[in-house]
Amino acid sequence: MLLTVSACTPIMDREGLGDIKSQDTRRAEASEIITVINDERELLALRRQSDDPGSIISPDAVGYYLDVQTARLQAIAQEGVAVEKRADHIAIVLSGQESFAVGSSSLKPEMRRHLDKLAVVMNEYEKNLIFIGGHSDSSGDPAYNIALSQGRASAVGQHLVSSHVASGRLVVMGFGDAEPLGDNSSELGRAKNRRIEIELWPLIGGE
Amino acid sequence: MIVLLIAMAGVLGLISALGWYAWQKSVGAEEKRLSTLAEQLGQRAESILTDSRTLLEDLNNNTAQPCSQSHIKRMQTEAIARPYIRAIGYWRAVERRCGVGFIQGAALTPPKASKIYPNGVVAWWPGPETAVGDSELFIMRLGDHDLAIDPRLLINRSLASEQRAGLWVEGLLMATSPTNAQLPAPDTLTPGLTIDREQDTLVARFSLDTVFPMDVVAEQSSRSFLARYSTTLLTATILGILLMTLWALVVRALSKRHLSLIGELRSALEHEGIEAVYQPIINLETGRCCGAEVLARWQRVNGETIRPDIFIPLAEQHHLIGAVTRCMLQHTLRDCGELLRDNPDLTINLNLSPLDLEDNAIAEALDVELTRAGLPPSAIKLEITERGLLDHEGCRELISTLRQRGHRIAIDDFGTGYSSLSYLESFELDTLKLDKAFVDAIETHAVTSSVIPHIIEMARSLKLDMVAEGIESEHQARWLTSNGVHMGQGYLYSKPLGAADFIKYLSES
Repeated sequence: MLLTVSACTPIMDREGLGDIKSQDTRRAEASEIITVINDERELLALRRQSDDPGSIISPDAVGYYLDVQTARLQAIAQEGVAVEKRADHIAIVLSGQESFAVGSSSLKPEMRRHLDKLAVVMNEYEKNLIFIGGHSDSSGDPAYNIALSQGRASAVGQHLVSSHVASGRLVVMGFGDAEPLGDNSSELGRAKNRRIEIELWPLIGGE
Repeated sequence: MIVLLIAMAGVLGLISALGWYAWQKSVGAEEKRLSTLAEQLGQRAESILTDSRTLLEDLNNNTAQPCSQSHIKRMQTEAIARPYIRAIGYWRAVERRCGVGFIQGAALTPPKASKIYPNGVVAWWPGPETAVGDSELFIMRLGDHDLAIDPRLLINRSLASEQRAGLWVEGLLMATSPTNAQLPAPDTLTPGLTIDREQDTLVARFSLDTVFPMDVVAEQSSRSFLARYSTTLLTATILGILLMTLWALVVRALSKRHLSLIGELRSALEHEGIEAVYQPIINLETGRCCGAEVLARWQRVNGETIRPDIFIPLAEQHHLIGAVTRCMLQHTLRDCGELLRDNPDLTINLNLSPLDLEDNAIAEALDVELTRAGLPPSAIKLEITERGLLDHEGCRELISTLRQRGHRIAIDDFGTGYSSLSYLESFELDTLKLDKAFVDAIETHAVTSSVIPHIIEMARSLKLDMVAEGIESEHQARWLTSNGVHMGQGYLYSKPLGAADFIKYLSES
């Protein structure tokens, strides 16, 4: 299932960024294309776009969908993963520390295993748009941060694809330090800010 | 009369005490009943919910092909075994693929879960979104299976008609019985039993916090408790009143007889119903009659004879003894007046009650009657019991007065009181009458037979004559004479005689 969108850029090979380019990314270039956006507002448009009746949920079942899915995700959550049910979507927050080595966008093995489990649930609850956002703290070059966070988000996306999640459902964005969670003046706060947020947005019909 | 009232008050008090005790026990039993109800409901609800969660886990672990025959059969078996389960379903995301209980296609997908547990259980509390037909169900989902419970069946214990109960799980109301009952929320109550005086209710709260935190609140009206026990109380009260009435009637009947007897006695006294009989006193050496003791006899209108040992105490109780004594005096003087005038040595013994010694009435009566009869005081000897002397110390003076007039005084039933030698000495006495008990003992070798010589000795040292009472055998008579007792009376010589018979007896002896 592919989403046809505009104003998006396919992932480019950025040689200048060294480590960021991982095996997964190369695989992505070869096989699947995951949509990357640079502005959150584009997400809204993506959420509304689907016409295929098989891919959407009726409005009166959305709440149920989110509730049950949250329970499933919570049941498999582990160290470094937090599942949060928000008003109209589910957010899974992966700790940057647990997921990647410093400066790298290569996934740690444990996180990979967890993503595999997440993928199972995601495939069961397939009427979702999966928006992966990479976030960093405020230290260092902002452009570098944006690139790194995007790279990391893509890495997560690619791994999900390798676990048989349809690439067309995935949307990736690098936020840099634009949306901090914690206080950047403390190490604790900075650690909190370095994260990946996977948002599961149900595709609702008739909206 | 006072005695009767006090007794009745006592019985009433006893019944009240019993009643209060029974009430307290009943109240306690009632409270315990309610607490136990709350506890049992709570425990049952808990076991149901725990079992349900385990069931979902088991179904998820089931390796059978989803929605295969065996899978559905398994769900069916489990649902049937639990009457509170309305449906079991197998899901993929928001699609109910198969299941048992609901009509095909009727899948419940309530928009907002009541609780999502970290272990993966999602629960929906009963509400409009979980209604099937007219029942609002409680739904639990774990993994791909869910089940729907009818909460009314969580409180399936039949409550008494005035009892209400409610079940809260996680602080949210799950079920009430009856369905629309309004119950106070558990967090407004202290655990255990509360008595709400304002609303006249008894409320019990029982809390559990093992798997799911739950509270059971059971309530019942105190008034209803009264209603329930009022029949018992009423019956007990009526029974109590009946018993009391019965008892009162019995007492009244008895006292009526008692009272009527007094009335009769009074009447007999007025109308010559009391008669005098005379038991001859014999000189033991000569065998001749030297006097008599006058005794009262009462024959009732129905022919029944009442013995003196019954009606004399009765008379004494009701202040009629004075009249009886006077009556005896009058009879004596009338029957034996001529006899006494003709035989100056003859004396008739008149019994005085201790009550007679309390005032001058009898002294005056003696004076008046004897004067009228033209007889000296020496003709009437007065018999006073030893006990009477002991109980009425103040009669010393009266006795002295009577003696000075010329009456002889005899101490009657001697040996049955506790008087000492010095005590006796302090009175002016003439004769000592030896009680029948001592005379009887002469026949046997009873301990009292060894006392008699001492009594005789004592009488002699006090210079008192002796008259032995109740002589029934020659042997007794011989013993007495040989021991210095000169006079006696008893069946050996004669039983008490009517006036005419006595006169005849006297003339013959």
